[in-house]
Amino acid sequence: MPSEGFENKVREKMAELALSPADAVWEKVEATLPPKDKSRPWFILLIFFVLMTAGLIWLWQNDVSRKKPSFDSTAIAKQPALINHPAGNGDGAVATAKEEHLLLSEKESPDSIRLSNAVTGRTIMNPSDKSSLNAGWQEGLSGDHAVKARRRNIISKTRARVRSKLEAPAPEAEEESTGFTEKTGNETAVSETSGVQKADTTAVSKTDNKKQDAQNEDRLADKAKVTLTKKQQSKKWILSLVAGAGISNTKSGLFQKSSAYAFNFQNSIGGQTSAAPPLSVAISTTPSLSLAAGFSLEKAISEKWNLETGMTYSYQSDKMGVGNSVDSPATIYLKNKSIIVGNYYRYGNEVQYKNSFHLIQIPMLVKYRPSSTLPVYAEAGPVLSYLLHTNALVYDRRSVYFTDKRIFNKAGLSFAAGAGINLAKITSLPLSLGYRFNYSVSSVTKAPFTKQHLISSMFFISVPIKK
Amino acid sequence: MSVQRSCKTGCQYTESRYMEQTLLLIKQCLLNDRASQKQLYNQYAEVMLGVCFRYTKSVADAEDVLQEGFVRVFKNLHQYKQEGEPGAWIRRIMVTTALNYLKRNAKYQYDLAFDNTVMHPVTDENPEIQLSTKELTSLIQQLPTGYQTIFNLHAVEGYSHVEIGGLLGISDGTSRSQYARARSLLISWIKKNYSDNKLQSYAK
Repeated sequence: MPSEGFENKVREKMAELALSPADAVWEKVEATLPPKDKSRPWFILLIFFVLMTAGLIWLWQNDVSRKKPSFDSTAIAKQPALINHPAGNGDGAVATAKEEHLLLSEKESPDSIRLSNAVTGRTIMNPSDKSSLNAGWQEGLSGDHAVKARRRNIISKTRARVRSKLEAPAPEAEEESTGFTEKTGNETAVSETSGVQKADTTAVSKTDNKKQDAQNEDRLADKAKVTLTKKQQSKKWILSLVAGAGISNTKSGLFQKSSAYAFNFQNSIGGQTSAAPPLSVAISTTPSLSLAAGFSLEKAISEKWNLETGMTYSYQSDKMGVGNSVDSPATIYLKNKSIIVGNYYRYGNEVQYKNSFHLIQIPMLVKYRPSSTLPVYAEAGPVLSYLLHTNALVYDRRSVYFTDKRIFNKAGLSFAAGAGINLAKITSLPLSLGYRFNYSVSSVTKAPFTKQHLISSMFFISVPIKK
Repeated sequence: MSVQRSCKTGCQYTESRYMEQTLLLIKQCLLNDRASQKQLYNQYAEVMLGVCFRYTKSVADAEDVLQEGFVRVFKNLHQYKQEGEPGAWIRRIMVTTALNYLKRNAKYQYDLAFDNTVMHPVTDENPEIQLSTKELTSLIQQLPTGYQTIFNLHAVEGYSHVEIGGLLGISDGTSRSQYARARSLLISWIKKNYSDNKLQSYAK
């Protein structure tokens, strides 16, 4: 067998062969590579939230349009036979029907507006309707004092409920109440309750006219008082409990795909300085759970604009693959100081490490409601944060992951933006649901470490507890 | 003692450090990070162009192979087991790509026909190679494509004749025969070149 001497010599010579390729080669290679993945979970969540909001608005609008034509006072007035039940005592049947209508109207009008208008129904009564109502109701009210007494009883009970509702604090309802009062001239806006109430009022008007006039004056005075109270309350802060859940991650920039946990200058571990040039090694982290809980304070500054602040505890985390833990102290030499760490992790992918950040956040948001009829809002503003604790690892360029509280900034500034829906306006639930995206403008790591920014994407629920 | 490795800027890396850096780079490339892909390309492009150049007859063809090879590298990067040296894995891809290129390209088709007519004994000659890398590469490129390919695969890449037979779809005997002829030709050219140089130096 021939010696391999010649082959070895050729191999040595060939190992030195290196040629610089033209720039066009990389351009052609790059052209064939898959495009950069632009889709981010934040965008997906945002789209989901927008769709969810649109769906709720659609449902709400459908619900409103279904409820609106449910009762027409003139129709009732023109068809007294429907109410004056032919079977049994006609008066009793009328009273029962009215009771049902009253209860129905109460059920269908969750706020005090419609009820308050029911009380003051006389003022918005159409004269022609009034006469037809009188004609209809008179048949069933033919001189029976017991029935009249019962009717008065129902009216007084309703008034008591109305009064209690008027006195009860409900800012949204009060707000709408004002809007409705302005529309009292519009007959189409008269609720079914007011229709029944109008009929009642008309029925007893002959005997109690003076008394009712006096009562109406009292009620108008009450309403004026309520409007004044509402104005006063709009200047007050509304306290709510807030809780949220979502995902968070750490990035070297808002549109960066990965994090860079490396030093960006010469450093060493254990006193051995590496001769390699400064290097920023990108480490990929995967999003993980984020939670938040606290309280918020909200104050109206105008019809559409609100201020929101408060205090929230926020837990944010992300995951990264590291090597095995080494329970041995190590000295990390920085530019001007050294850090001694109790243990560190080697480079690798054996352990899935969770970087967690515990923060206290104070948002200073401005809320905008595009319309008083739509229960949606958008919010944005700065958020002050204070880092309580973190176990986040930082990558040393000698392939060591370590953590130390001295390398993190305690105070930070974030920017939050989001949107939400006020369920209290469309359901009986006194809740607000919202989505909020938070990006820490300031880095969580101190210089000379590579800048790290916390990003969180959360869904929030807010429950008002005090006005 | 750890093996030192030089980077482009002249800095020294230990072998293990270099490996870790490259593995990190590959991790980022797998996330479709364009900057890391460019960095990996820059790290290996020059050496790999040399590999491609040995199998082709021109730099332009070598660049075509290099481009095709890197596309395959990035496409199949997830298959890299992170066990061996990444450079060796990339090199294997480049060689395979070069062989496919030769088979596909009409320019190389005629020369790539392997015959199995005469067995050529491998000589034991071991001449001194006083040529530069470029000169030696030029001589290898002057070999017929079939010889050139088998010589590169066996002498430079270290493939066995059985492996070469598998790669090129020929018998190992054919590979041995072709290699012997290629080696013999190359040695004669090296000797000629050496004597020519000697004459030129005497003339001076």
